[in-house]
Amino acid sequence: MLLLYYSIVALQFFFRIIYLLYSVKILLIEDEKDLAKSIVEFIGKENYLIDIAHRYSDADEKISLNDYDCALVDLMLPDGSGLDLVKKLKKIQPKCVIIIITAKNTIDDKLTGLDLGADDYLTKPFHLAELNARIKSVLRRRLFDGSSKIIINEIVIDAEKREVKVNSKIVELTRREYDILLFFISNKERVLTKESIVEHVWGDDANAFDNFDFVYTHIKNLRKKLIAQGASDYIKSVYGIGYKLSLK
Amino acid sequence: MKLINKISYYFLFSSVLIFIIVSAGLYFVIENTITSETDEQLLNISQKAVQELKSGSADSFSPFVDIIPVNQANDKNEFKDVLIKSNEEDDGEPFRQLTTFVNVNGKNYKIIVRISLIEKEDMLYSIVLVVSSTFLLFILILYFTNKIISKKILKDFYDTLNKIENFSLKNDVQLQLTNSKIEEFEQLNKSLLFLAAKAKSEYCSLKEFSEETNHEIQTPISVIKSKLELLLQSNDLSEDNLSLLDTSLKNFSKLERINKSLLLLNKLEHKDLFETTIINLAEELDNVTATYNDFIVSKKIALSRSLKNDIEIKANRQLINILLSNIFSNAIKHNVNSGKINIELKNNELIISNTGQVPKGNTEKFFERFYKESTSTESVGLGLTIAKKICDLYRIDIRNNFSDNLHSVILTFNSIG
Repeated sequence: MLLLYYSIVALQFFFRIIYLLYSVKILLIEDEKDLAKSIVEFIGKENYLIDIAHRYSDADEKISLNDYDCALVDLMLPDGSGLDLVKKLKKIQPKCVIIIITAKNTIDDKLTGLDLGADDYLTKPFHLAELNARIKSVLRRRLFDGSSKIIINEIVIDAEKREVKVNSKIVELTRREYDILLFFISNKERVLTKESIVEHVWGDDANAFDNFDFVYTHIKNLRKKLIAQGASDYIKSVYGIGYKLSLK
Repeated sequence: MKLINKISYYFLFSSVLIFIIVSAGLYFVIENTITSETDEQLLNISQKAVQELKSGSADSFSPFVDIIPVNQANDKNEFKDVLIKSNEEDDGEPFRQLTTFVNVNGKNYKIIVRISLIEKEDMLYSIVLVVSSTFLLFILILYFTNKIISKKILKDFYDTLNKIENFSLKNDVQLQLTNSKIEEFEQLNKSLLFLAAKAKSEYCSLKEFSEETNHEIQTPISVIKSKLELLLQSNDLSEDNLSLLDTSLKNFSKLERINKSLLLLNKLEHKDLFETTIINLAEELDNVTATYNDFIVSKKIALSRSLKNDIEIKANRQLINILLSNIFSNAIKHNVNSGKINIELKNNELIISNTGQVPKGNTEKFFERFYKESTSTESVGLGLTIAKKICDLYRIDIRNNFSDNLHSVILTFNSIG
């Protein structure tokens, strides 16, 4: 009996180690606690292990102790600059991908951040879905050298070649349609507003419009093309607010 | 009316009064003197006539001396002004006459002596002439002194005025006024300097306050946005809930955009240094039109481009992108369905024109903050304000024009390359 218990504990421990080894470890450095909570809740659905640091000193300590696959760094921290953390991360953990998050929309900061080796840059306020897509994109590029294939049941996407196959048959998509599909797949089972789709695909400037009717046209075409090759209709419209890619 | 003229008018008015009073006084004094002098002379002449009458050699000498024998004598001497006509057509000349009665050798005589008053009238004419010419001379001198005064004395005043006109709260330059030797102007300068310093400090603190507010708002905006998006992910929302959430998100993103635009405006007003590169305008236009292609298609707008030559400018790429994006997105937003947009690049001018409704207000007002032609909820009203600020930064001339049912924004690049 005791042996069984021990073996279960050992097995659990073993699986835990396997899990720890294979899950992506993310360090979130964000002083605004409410925002940090939102981010954790949103990206927590993925296979991530997330550490949170609210202060510079906190983050500094965590960087020295643990290895991370990805760091989300807020530039303005109460007790230091996020840029210094980026510098340090680059030095001691060169494999860790870095996404800078900042309220400062200054062009210079963006340049310095990227010069120092940050992989991406996001200004507050951002869409959580956008952050999620960016994390996945940089991780794909870094961890799998971009060669990984994204597989959603019968749909297979080669991110490096920007190629989509359904049941091994290539689906010809326009650039916009491909971007939309990838954004959906990065945020599966989540409701995406039309605005966040437009911002992701057409850029920040495009959201100055109120009329996003053309998004509907693009999505309609995308669905048609996928269904034509025998894929299920995964993309569903949610009331009038947006869309959701759901496998359920 | 100029101050100097105003003063001169009052001065002139009072001078006219003084001149009139003096002239009238002079007239009465001189007339009185002449009259009493004349009367004395008349008495002398009549006494002489009496003496001559007594010596028997008296003769009438009309119209100056008339000796008429009368029956009845009278004791009264009478002075009188009369008009005597030398012929029929004449109006008559003015004379002063004295009538006396004498008894010489038992006979009664009436003696009338007269003196012409023509000289007196001449004298009055001369007075008027002298007075009025003095007055004219006075005005002339006044005019020239005024000119000199306004040039010399008011020089400090105009100098100050000029400096205030060129003074701007936005510039970092402090107001500097030259010292004046005139006490009033010196006092004015002191007050103005005090006022300018106070206005400047208050303007700065207000600006700082608005900038800080902009920054502080960013954090709660980020938090609320993330929470609303999380709420959107919950599975048990009814359609009513979703509709509420939809409206909230839409308006929230508008708030977000306003704040973002204001932050950019503040940055532009600070004239922060932006990294500059050589930018190919035609290339940037391509980028912008590509970004908005779907918006053009969905509104069925016909886009025509005529790029005769390219313009290279030295500026920040992102700012130029914002400038062109703002103008171009306005051309889409304020367009009609199945409308037109023309992009024309020639010489040093870029013209982006679009079909649309006739503007109600002054087209220059489009550059003002939060100015909206329509009540359309789509625009915030900061796009062209930002465009103008960017143009100011790079000395690009930006104009609005409406003709032939086309609304155009014209950019003139002065410093090419």
